[in-house]
Amino acid sequence: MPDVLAFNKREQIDCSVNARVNSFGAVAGNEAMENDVPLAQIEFRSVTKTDGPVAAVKDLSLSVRRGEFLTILGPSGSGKTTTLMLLTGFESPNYGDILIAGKSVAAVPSYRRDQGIVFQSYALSPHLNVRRNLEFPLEMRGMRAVERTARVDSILARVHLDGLGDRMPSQLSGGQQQRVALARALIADPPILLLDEPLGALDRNLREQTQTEIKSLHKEFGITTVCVTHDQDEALTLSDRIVVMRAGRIEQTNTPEAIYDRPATQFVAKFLGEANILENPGFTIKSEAAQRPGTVAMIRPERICIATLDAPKRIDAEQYQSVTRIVDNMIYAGPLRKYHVRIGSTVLVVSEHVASGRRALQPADGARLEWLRSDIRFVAAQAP
Amino acid sequence: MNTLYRLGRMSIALTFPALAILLAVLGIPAILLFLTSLNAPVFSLTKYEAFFNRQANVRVLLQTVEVSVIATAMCVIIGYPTAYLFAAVSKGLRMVLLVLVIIPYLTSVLVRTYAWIVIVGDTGLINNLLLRLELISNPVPLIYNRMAVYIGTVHIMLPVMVLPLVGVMLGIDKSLTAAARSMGARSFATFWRGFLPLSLPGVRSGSLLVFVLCLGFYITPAALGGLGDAMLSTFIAAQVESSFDLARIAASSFILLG
Repeated sequence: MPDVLAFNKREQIDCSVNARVNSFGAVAGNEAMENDVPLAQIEFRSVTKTDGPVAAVKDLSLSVRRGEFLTILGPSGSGKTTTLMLLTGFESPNYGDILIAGKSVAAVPSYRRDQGIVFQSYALSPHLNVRRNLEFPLEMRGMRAVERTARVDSILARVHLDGLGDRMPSQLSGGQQQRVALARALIADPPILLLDEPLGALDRNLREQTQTEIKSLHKEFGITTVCVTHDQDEALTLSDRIVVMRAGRIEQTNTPEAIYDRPATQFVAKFLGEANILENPGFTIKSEAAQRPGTVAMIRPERICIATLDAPKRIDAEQYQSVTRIVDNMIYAGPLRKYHVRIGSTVLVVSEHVASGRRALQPADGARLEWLRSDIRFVAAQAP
Repeated sequence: MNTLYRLGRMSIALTFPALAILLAVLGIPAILLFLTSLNAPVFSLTKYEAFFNRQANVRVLLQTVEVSVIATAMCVIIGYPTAYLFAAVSKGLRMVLLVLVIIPYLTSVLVRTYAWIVIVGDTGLINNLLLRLELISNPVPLIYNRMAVYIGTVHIMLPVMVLPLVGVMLGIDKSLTAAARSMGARSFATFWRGFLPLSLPGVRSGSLLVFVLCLGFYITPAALGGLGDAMLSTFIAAQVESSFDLARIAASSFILLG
């Protein structure tokens, strides 16, 4: 029983050297063992996975740093779930290699990869109570019953589910089930946590609360986390870095701020937040950078300032560009007002904070639109 | 019209037509039979006493239960892996397999039973083949014994076991298996700790169906079994043919029902 040995070994090391040994023998520690392992915890090297005749993932190279929270964001069919499945070992790549802690995992079956996974459906065993569900991964690693009980108690307290150990999963609310799933993924102290659309099944209020919870758990455990989602809010709030995928390829990889502020392509601009693409606007777009061929001008709705025609113009005309148009439509959206204004062939979306104190414009009102020239971004019309 | 509409709104009322038919064709005859078995209007248990006082009757009763239990167990052993295969394969292949199971299920029990006589009979396929190959000199007794009863019964009952099992297995969340594997469970542990307990309701309902059907099974044991393999239903049929003591027959029937 090599797994049992590995687990006991890890327990000892945890106490003494403060490092982790995962069950297939690789040392994946933190500060104490920094020099022994490469910085990248997970590495995809030119991975291709075909699903029948179509390639679900094409020539994907990606590395995840130790302790990082990386989100793979993309629409359905973009290959993000396949990427996760490749990492878990439920699927294996046709070409390329995947390295975990510097070692190829091509020959490592999923039950030996030592990853905590939170499934979209939570996948809690319906015939076992919460405690037995949480004990399962420990039992599989050969931990003794006394230790198991202690671990379960401590993790239950950590996710604020004390006293619910005897409940069956069906007796828990969606949010509680989610926390049990999270606790079960973390209980065996794996070096890698994988989240598959972790908040997809929760309603809006609970989602925000759980986001905060996941964020603080990630901080506390310092665990390398890969999250797959199609929800941009989730990606923006949780991640250290975001990978945007489309049709099996990576479109852009960067921090949430950088990706939102400087999208590389039109697809990224539109998938993360709202984007106005200024195609054939009927006037010259003034900007600070020169427009490269194959790119289109883009501006975020909140970067455009909308005002009545009689409002005073900005003084420093050098930095601003302004156009006057008729308002097509106004949509009230709680904290925001959204205006639709036609410019050339496109309908521009302009959002304005209700708290800005400006008078709401009505459809058919004349309006002056102003924006900073430096807020114009040129994005690739198509993926490179 | 208004009355009908109001009736339609009481959902319980919608079961009345079906209930009435069941009561007329099953309920009333069953009650009459029960009263007959009690020697109504005198009301006595003499017929039941007479049944249990005869050693042979009790043996037939126990034999019926024994054959049913063993046939059910065989159905579970053969049916469970079959159903597991159904749940594991792709959708298209599953449809093909389902058709392969359902077509024999829809074929008359009589036809399937006599098919077995053709196969295992003294001049049947197997014995003919073995004789032709000169592996044996006299036909092997494959039919008119307990083994033939099991073969026939299990063959006929198998779809009744497989179909509920497939239903339950398809309802098991695939990500549970994935989750178990990700938590360090090998294939066997994944199956034993995860899949099997969740499929038990299917085993339970399949077994119950097969067992109950076996208890009252008549054609196959009568056609494939020997004289010593009489089931209670065969016994009742024989009684109907020979004597016409309705009370005694009614008593035997109720023992089978109970």
